Amino acid sequence: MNIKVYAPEDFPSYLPKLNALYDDLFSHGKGFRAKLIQRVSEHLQLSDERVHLLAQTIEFIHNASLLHDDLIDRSPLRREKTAAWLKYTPEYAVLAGDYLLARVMVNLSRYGNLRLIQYTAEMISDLLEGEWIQDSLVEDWDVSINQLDRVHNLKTASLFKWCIRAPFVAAENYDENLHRLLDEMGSLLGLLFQRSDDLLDFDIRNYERKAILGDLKSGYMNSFAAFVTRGMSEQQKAKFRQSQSMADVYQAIGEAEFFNRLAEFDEHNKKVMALYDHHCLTLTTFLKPHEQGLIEELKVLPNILYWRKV
Amino acid sequence: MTDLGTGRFVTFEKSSPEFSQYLLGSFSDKEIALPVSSLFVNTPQEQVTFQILRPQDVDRPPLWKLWFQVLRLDLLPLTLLPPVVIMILERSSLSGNPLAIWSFVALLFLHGATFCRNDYMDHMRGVDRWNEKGGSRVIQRGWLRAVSVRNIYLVLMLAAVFCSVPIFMAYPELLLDAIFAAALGIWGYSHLRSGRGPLWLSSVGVFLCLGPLLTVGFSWVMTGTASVAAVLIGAHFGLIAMLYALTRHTISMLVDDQAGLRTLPVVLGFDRMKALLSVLVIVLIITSGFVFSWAEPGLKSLTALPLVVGLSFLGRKIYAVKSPLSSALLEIPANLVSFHLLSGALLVVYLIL
Repeated sequence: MNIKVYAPEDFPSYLPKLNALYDDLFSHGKGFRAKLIQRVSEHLQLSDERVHLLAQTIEFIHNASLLHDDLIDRSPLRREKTAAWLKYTPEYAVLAGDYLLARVMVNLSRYGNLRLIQYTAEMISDLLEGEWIQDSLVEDWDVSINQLDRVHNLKTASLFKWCIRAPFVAAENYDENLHRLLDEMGSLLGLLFQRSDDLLDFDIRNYERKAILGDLKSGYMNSFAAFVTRGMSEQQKAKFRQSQSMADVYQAIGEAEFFNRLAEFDEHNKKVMALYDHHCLTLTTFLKPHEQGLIEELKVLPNILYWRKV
Repeated sequence: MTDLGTGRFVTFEKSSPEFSQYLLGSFSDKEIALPVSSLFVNTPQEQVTFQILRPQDVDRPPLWKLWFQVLRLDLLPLTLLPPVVIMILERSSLSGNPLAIWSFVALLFLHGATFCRNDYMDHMRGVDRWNEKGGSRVIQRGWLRAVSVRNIYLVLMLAAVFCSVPIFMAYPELLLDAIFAAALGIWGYSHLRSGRGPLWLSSVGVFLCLGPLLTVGFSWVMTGTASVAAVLIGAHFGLIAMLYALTRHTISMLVDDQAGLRTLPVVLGFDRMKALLSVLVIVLIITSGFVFSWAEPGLKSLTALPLVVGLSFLGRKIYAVKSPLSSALLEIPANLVSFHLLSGALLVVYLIL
C-alpha cells in the first residue's frame, strides 16, 4: 500500500497559506516512519484504515517537531528548501506545527482507542521534554555522550518506540512485558538513528550530500562531536569548535585520529546492534505464529538506520 | 559511553533461579555477567539482560586503581580530614594516644565499608543499572563481581567494629553517638533510594555524619570532651559534604524522576534546587568566615580568604548551570571535594600559625 499521509482535503481551505505550507513540508519527506509503521502493521494484520491512521499520526508529529525545530534553531533550510518559518512567517510555523498535533488528537480520538491516545500523548510529551533539555545544552562544549543519550532517548527514540509499539496497541495487544521489550528496542533504534544522523553532520556516510557541520555551527555538540573530543586539550577543543569545514576539523583533531575515533565509534554502535539482535530473539516468544515475520522486518532496521544501507 | 564488549547476551526474569546468581556474579568462575539492560527494575517482574564475558575480555585497570575506585579513596578526605583538623585544634597527635589511632583506623574501614555497601545494594536494587553516574561502577564495568564487593564490605565492616571496641570500652557514651549516626546513615540512605520519608533526611544525615558527629566524636576520643570549636568545624565540613550529596542528586534528577524516586531535587524542581544550592554556598561562605575567626579572631582570619573567593566563584558557576545535564554541573562535586581539602589545609594553617 502506498501511503499518502497528507491530503489538502484533510485541512480547512479557509486558512490562508496553510495547505501551501504543508504541501512544501510533506512533499519532500522520505516518510520513513510511515513506512516503518506499514512494515510492522502488515504482520499484525491491521486494516488499511488503521495503518493509514498510524502512519499519518507519526508523520504529523514528526513534521510538527521539524517545523518548531527549524524555528528554534533558526535553520534557513529544511530538505534543501527554504524552511517554513522563513518562507512564510515564524508565527505560521509555530501554528502549523501546533495544528498538526491538534489534528493528531482529533484523528485518534475519532478512532476511539483510549490507550493509543494516551500513549501518543505521552510520546509527544517525551519529545517536547527532549527538545527542551536539548536547548539547554547549546554552547555546552563539554557535554558527554551519556548526557546526550538521555536527550536522544526522549527526543528521537520516542518516535521509533511509537512506530514499533503503536501497531500492537492499535491491534489491542497490551501485554506489558511485550511493550517494555519493544520500548527497549525502540530506544536502541533511536540511539542508532541519532548517532548516524550525527555522523552525517561530519560528512560520514552522507550519501544524500546533506549540508555538514550544521550542529557545530549552531553551537551544539552532537554525539559524535562529544565522542571525538573526549580527552582533548582545551586548545584542541577550541580549534574544533571553530571549524567551518571538514578540512578545519581534520586540522583540529588530526585526520588519522579522526578516522581512528570514527572506527571506535562504529565499534561501540555494533555492540548496540548486537544487543538489539538479542532483543529480537527474545521478541519471538511474545509473537503469535502469523506475527513471526515481523522479526525479519525488525532485524534489518539497524543496518538501514545506522549504516544507511537500504 | 558504556562499552558493551563482545560476549553473548542472556535475559532472565526475577522469578528464574539463575537471576540472582547472575546478578551476584556467582554463577561461574570462568565468566562474568554484565547487566546491560533492565526492565521493570526493582519490581517482581524485573527482567535483566546480561552480557557474558570472559574475565580476560574485561579491560581491568591496575590493582591500585581498582582498590582506589571500589573504596572511593577519592572521597576519603570527606571522612578523615575533619578528624585531622580536630587533632591540630586539640594540639594532639596520634602517637601516644592509642584510642585516637583506633578511631582513625576504624573510620578508614568504615569509609570503605559504607561505599562498598552502597555499591552492592544499589547494584542489586537496580539503581546503578539505570543511573550510569551512580556508585563506583566497578560492578557494572565487570572489574569486580557483586558478591566480591559484598564480601569486601563485610570484612571492612567487621574490621571497623573490631577497631571501635576499645573506644566504646573507654567511652561508652560514644556508643550512643555511633548508633545514632549509623541509624541515621542507614535510614537516610534507604529513604533516599526508596523516595519515601522526609525529603531532607538523607541530606541532614550526610551533614551530621560527615560533620559535627564526626568531629565531636573524635574530639571526645582525643580529650574526653568536645569543644564548641569542634562543633563549628564539624558544621563547616558537614555543610560541604551535604552540598556534595545534594549536587549529586541534582545531577541524577532526570533519571530519578523517570524512575519515580521523589528525591529533594525532583520535588523542588531544577530551578529551586539550583537556588537552594546557591544559597547553601552563601551559607558556607558565612560559616567559613565564622569558623576562621572563632578560635582566634584577627588578621589570622584572612587565612580563609582563598576559600571565600573560591566559593564565590563556585556559587556563580552553580547559578549559571542551565539544566541537570549541563557539563558544568557534573564538575561541581569534584570542585566541592577540592574545597573540602582546601578548607582542611587552610584550617590547619590557621590553627598552627
